[in-house]
Amino acid sequence: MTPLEFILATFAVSVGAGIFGAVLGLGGGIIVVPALTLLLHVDIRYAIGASIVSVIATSSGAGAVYVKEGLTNIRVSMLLETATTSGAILGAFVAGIVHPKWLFLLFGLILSYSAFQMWRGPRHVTSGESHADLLVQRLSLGGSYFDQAGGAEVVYHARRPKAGLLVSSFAGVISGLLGVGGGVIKVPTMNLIMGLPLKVASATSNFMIGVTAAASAGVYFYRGDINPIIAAPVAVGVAAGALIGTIILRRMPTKILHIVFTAVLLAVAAQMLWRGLT
Amino acid sequence: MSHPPPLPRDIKPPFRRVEIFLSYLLRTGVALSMMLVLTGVVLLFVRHPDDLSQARNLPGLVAPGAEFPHTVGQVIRQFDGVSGRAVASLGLLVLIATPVLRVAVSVVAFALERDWTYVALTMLVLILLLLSFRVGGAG
Repeated sequence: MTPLEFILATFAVSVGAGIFGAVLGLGGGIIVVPALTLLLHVDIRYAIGASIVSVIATSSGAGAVYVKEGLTNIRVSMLLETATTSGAILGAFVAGIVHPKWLFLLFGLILSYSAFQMWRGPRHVTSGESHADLLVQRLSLGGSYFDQAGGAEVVYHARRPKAGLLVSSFAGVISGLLGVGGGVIKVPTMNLIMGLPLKVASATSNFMIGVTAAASAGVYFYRGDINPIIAAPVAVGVAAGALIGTIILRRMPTKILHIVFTAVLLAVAAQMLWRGLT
Repeated sequence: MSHPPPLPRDIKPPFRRVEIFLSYLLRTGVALSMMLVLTGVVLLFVRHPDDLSQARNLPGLVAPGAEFPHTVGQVIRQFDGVSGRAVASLGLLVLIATPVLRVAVSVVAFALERDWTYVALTMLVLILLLLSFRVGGAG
């Protein structure tokens, strides 16, 4: 393979990763790392460096569209980011105390349970059933967005901010330790625990993962893990894919989004359980 | 007496100004970064046409030990406008800086909205972010 072919192949894979990441609110890492290492035989260090870049490109590229449309809940994102960032720092300290094997198993079980909940169907708190407590009111976590697929304005409320914070800090610890699980745990947290509509959860998760990734990206860059020959086509491809992804999410019926997300949760859960057992 | 129905109390009126500004910031960051990254790749092709058409050159570019700038200092020193790798790396640095800048700008945005709870929360996130740079050993 010539360097030119390598750059074009990396670009093509990254467009796919960007679409996937922008629709589901996950980083493109789930696709970028295996594609680069298995298909293009890139060293794992450079693959992880490129995947961190892909997360930021998805987050900022899709974020520009979602924030403008009001799909991203900025307040929820800031609230939960306090938990994910402190969790990530805590994770860096407890690394070495707990064997990763147990964390992979625990994470796999949590994801399996989330997949089961997600499969039971879409549920979010709509305006009819308002039971906002004082904390929720003080944090003004509710919002509204125009759903293109449904053709109507969706007004929603949020609940259980404390439970959301707790799970988010756990997600932060996990991603700080294992380098996985950014979006894949944030979306179910916001949808199933806090009651945000799935599209809002996806857009908000997408917005949040860029910040966490930027913190680690600085470290990776200095360590020399971000090779521009690999990361450049990844960044451009993912940003282009993310723009396509925003168009798809807007038009996608929420029901189908639920099915796709459940399948992805199951796949990642199986992967985590496998890594914990072997 | 007629007035629009009040929004439920846990929903504040949308802060569209902030949203549009943040969206503009993200778009500018991504666009600038993409421009630099693309220019960098094109420069690589223009300056080393042979390098890029020979399969035997690939390992030297992408295998462990490949040479490229990886500190801000190196990127700036090598940035003479014609080194493809330095231009692309500068683009990647712009991309990495965008989300951090987004949090910093959000502090100001919430202050303009007089939403002090979120000014405090956002500042906390910014401090934690800078702290995680230190923990990671980059700062």
